[in-house]
Amino acid sequence: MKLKIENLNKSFRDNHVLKDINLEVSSGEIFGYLGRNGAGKTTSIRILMDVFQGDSGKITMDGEDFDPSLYKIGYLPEERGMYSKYKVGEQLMYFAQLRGASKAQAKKSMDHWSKEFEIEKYLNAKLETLSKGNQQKVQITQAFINEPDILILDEPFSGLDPVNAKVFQDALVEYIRGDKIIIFSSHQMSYVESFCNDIAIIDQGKIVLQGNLKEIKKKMGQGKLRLRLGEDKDLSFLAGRDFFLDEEDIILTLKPTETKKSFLQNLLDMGVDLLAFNDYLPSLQEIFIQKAGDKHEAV
Amino acid sequence: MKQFKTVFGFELKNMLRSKTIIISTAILSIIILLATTIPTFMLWFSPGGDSGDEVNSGFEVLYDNESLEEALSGEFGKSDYTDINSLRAAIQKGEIEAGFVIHDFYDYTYITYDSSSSSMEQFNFEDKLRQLSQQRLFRQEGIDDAKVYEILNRPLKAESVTLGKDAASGLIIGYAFILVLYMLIVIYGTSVATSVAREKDSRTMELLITSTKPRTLILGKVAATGLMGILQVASIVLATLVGVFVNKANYPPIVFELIKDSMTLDTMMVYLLFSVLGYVLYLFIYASLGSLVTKVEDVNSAVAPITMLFVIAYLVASFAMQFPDNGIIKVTSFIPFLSIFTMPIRYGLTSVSLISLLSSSLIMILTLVLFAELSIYIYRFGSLNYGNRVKIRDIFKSFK
Repeated sequence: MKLKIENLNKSFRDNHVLKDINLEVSSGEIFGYLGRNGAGKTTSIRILMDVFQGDSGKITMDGEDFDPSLYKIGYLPEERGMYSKYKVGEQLMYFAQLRGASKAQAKKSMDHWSKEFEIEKYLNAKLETLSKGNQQKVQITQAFINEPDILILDEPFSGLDPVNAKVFQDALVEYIRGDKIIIFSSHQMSYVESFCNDIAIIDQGKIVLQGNLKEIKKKMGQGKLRLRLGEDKDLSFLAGRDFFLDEEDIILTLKPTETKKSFLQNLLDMGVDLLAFNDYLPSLQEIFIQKAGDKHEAV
Repeated sequence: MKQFKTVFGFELKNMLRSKTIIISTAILSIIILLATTIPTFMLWFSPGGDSGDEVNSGFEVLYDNESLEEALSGEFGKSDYTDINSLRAAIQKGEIEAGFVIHDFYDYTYITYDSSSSSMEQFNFEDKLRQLSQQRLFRQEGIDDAKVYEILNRPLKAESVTLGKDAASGLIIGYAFILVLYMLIVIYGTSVATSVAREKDSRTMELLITSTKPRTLILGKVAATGLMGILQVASIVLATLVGVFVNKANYPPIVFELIKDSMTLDTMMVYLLFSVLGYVLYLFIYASLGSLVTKVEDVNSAVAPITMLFVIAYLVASFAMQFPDNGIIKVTSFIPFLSIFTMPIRYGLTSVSLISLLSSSLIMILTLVLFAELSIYIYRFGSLNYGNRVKIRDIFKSFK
C-alpha cells in the first residue's frame, strides 16, 4: 500500500495551517512524522482520518482516491483520553465496534491485544483505578484493536517504563510485517531513529524535509568530517575553518577545494595527534533542530 | 446505523447502570408512592365518628346570665366555670383549648391561646348560636321556623352544558404535565451537556471523533439520554398509578371524574407529541452547547442561555394554565420553544382547531430538524476545538 498526500492545504479562518503538504507513506515500514507542537501534525492526521476535509489537495491510496471508510484506522492521540469511570474491557469493545468491528470480532481482537500488552487482568476494572503506565497500555491496546490497516501513533512511548517500552517495540516490529501502514510521531528522537526508515519533518505547516533517514543523514553530512584528537591538542589547524564541537569530537566542514584525502594528508603532515577520522552523520536530533528549530538556532 | 446502535447501546447501558439515576428514580418513586397514599394517611389521623354536633368538645362555654344558660345549655352544655377569669386561666394552663363567653343571643367572645387563621370550631359555634337565636326570635313572633328554613333552603335545579372543553377538568393533568416535562428537560438536558463536556474534558472526544462521525455520536447520545429520561418518567408514572390504584377507595371521587374527563385519547396524543418533540429539540441544543466547553465545570454557564429560554417557556406555561384563551398564549402555541407547553395546554383546556394543531406540529417538526442539524454542526465544531471556550459567534462565522 502506498498512501500519498499531494498539495494539501488547510486554513482555519485566517490561519493557514497546512501549506501544500506532500507526503508519501509506504506499508511495511514505519514512517516517522516529526514536527514541533502546533506545526500541523494533528491537523494533517485529522484530515487523513476524515474528521474534516482539506481546502485543496488530494489523498490517494495506491493511486486511487483515498476513502478512509474503506480502511481500518487505529489512532493513539497525543492527548490521551478514555472514559475514566467505565470498565476497560467495555471501552475497548466500544471503540472497536465504533470502528466497524462486529461484537465477535471486537471480542476476539480485544482478547488478543490485551494479552499482547499484558492488560487482560484489568479488563473488568475501571480505567481510573489503574496505574498511569497501565492506563497507557490500555490506550495503546485501543489503537491496535480491530487490527487497523493504518496505525497512527502519536508519542506512544510517553509514560512507558523500559520493560513496557520493549514490549510495545516488539509488538510494533511484529505488526509492521503484516504489510500495514504505520505513522509514528514522537519527540523522542532516539525511538524514531531506531524504528523509522522514512521520515518527514513539518514546520509551520510546511514539509521542510522528507525522505529516507539514512540518505538524509548522508546528504546532510556531506563535506563534513568527525575528528577525535589525542592528548596533544594542537588546534592550530582549525584556524579559518568552519567547525563546531560535539562533546569530545570536532565536526568540521571541508573547503570546496579540498578532498577528504588531501585534508587527511595535510593533518598527517602537520603531525596532528589523530585518534579518529570519520564521515560525519548528523543525529536526527541535530537534523530536527536544524530544520524545525527557531531561526536563530538554525545552522 | 450500526454505529448509531453501538453509540446508543453504550450510552444507554452506562446510564442504566449509573447509581445516581437508579437511586434518584427509586427515591422519586418512593416519594410518589407516599404522596399518593396521603388520602389514606389523612383518614388514619382524622378523628373517628361524626363530630358535627359536639361543638364544645375541648371547649368550654360561659354564660353571662342564667336565662342564657337555660336557653342554650341544651346545645352547648352547662358551664364548669363561674367567671371569665377562671375560664382564661384554664385556657392559659392548657386544660382546655378555647372558650366561648356568651353575652347575649347575638353577642359572644371567643377566647383561645393560639389563634389560627380559620377556626372551624368558632365557625361551627357561631353557626349553631345564630340558628338557635333565630329560632327563638321566630317563635317569639309566632312564625313556624321549620317552614322558614324549608323556604330558605329550597334547592335550585341547575344544569350547565359545556360545548367545548371544561377547563377545570384539564387542570390536574395540565399541571402534572408542566411539572414533569420541566423536570425532565432540565435534568436530562444538563445531563447530556455534561456528558459531552466530560468527553471533551477527558479527551475521549479525540478518539470518538476519529472513530466515527460526529453526527452518529450526537444522535446516539441524544437518543439514549432521551430514552433514559422517558424510562425514568415512565417508572414514576407507574409508581403514581400503583399508589393511586392501591389507595383508590380513599380518594374523593371528584378527582377521578376530573381526570377521566380530561384524559381523552386525542388530548393524550397531543401532550405526548409535543412533549417528545420539544424534549428532543431541547436535548439537541443542550448536547451541542456542552461541546463548546472544555471543562465539565463550565457546563452550567454554557447551557445558561437555553435554560433561560426554557424557564421563560415554563413561566408562559404557568400563565397559560390560568388564561389558556389569552391572545399571547395563542401566539406562543406556534413558537416551537414555547409551544412545547402552550399548545398541549391550549388543547387540553380550550378548543383548538385541527388546522392550528397541525400547523403548530409542523413548525415544531421543522424546527426540530433544523436545530438537530445545527446542533450537529455546533457539536462537530465544538468537539474539535480545545483550549478557549468556543463562542457561538465563531461558529456562525465559520459557515461558508
